[in-house]
Amino acid sequence: MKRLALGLLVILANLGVAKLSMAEEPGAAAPDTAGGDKTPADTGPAISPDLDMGEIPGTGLDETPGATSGKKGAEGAGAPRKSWEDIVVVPRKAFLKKSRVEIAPFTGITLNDPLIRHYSFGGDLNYYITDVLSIGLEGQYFIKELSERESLVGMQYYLVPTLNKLKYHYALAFGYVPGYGKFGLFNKWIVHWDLTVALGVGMIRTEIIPRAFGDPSFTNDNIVGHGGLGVRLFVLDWLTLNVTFRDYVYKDAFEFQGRDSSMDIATVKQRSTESQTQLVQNIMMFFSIGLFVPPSFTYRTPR
Amino acid sequence: MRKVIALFVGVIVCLPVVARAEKERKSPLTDAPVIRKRLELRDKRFEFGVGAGVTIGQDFYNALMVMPKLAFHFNDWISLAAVGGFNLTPTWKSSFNKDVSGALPAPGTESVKSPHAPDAVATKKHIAYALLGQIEFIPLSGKIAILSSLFSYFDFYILAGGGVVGLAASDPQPDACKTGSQPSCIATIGTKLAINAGVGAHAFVSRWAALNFELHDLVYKNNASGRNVNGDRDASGNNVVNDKDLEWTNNWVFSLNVQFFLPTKAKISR
Repeated sequence: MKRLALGLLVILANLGVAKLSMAEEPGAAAPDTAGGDKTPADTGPAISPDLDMGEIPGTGLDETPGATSGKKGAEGAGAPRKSWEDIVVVPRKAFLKKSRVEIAPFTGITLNDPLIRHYSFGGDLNYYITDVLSIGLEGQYFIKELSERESLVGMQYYLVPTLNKLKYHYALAFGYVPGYGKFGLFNKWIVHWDLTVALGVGMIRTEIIPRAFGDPSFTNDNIVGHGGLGVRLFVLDWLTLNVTFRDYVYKDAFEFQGRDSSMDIATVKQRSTESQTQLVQNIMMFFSIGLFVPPSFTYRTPR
Repeated sequence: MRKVIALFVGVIVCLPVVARAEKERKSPLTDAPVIRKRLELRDKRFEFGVGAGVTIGQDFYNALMVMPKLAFHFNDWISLAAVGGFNLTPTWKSSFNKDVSGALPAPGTESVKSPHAPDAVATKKHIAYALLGQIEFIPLSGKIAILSSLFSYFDFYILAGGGVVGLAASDPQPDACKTGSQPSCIATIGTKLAINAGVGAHAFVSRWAALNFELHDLVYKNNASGRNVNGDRDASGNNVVNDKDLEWTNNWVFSLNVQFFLPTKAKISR
């Protein structure tokens, strides 16, 4: 008899467990939940229970009728049930920049001069006035490298090219983010990114490379304007990877034709400025790492 | 007997519960794709269209090309494509070419060693055409909001393949190059085998039309100037130009096409 009672006890206990597990099953608790056949990949970031309303200052449950109030609210008696109205069409941005400072060390390379190549090392310092507008400073130092084509000019045409090398550059820059998006990587991971355009004005120092070895050189300080287009990948709340193209436009003075080695450098510079000034375009590609301060952000709007 | 019955009933009741608990431990997200109901804009579709391409960083002649493209997408990730490029501007000089030509002596004027400008120009080569085959691997696809109002599907891909590039010059061997037993300058024109590598992107404007950006690096052996590269000279000290002066070169082409997709309707994933 004791064994029979024990068996019945086991049965009752199991039935109790089964009832409890069914009560905890979301589908059973709310069979009419929107997206019942959807995975959280469709609805996850958008369903209200994932939205912690407590993180939104001044936003109470009574201010958001129709919205559920998180897991606790859903479990409470009389709490509004989850429905299709709780699914937002466009989830919140994955990354907010407003009122944050971006420190972005970069390295770059010139693309469009077949005779001389410059490698650049520098950084951007941007402050985001809004999520899409920024103002910042940019500075870089250049290291030159003469190309094979430059050396061939002498052998093939018996000419010595007239070239200037870049020394350094600094600028004030304005940025705007016209677009943002996300993509699936192998349909396994989602990566968020945005598109940035920039305009800037600053100063660039260049130095002539004298055609005759040993002749003294002079430097130029030129006002330079630039336009840029870049892509930013969001890695962490404080870390981005950036690829940027910039076109620097300025007027530069090159060593004038017919320079006499006996001329003093001031005269050479004056005659070069008068007769050998050209509009120059330097198209450059940059890779940079964006470090945002403060390293985290808080959503200000519920959706 | 009662003991056996009680045990039997207990097992019968327990088994489904245990099985259910085991089932509940497995997340319903297991093996789920990160995006469901995704538009498969490429899967088993033909793609065709035409556009314009431009060379970047050519030594002597830029090329603006008309570039037809035909592709078939085996699935959403892999496609096979054929691309053509036909130069519409064979005389479009680069600024470097203009500088060199401007610095060289004119015909009839005395020159110690520099070639006269027309002779130098004659052997400078330009791209006449390119015929390329490529496999495209498309790991990235998504959507973008422009100014928070325009939404577009896009994808990024890498491409690799091969092909041929036709090279031409206005006068491959002018008389001025016939100085010694071997030519001192000669443009090796004709069809060259090329490696084709690059990246591309589609920006869909509808489910059957897209803008297609591609950046190709065409790698082939070339001597763009048709002049001495390796410094070889004959017994008289004249420059010697031959196949040893050919070097592997990188030749960049950026293209923008309007591409159409067939069938016009795209599948939607599970």
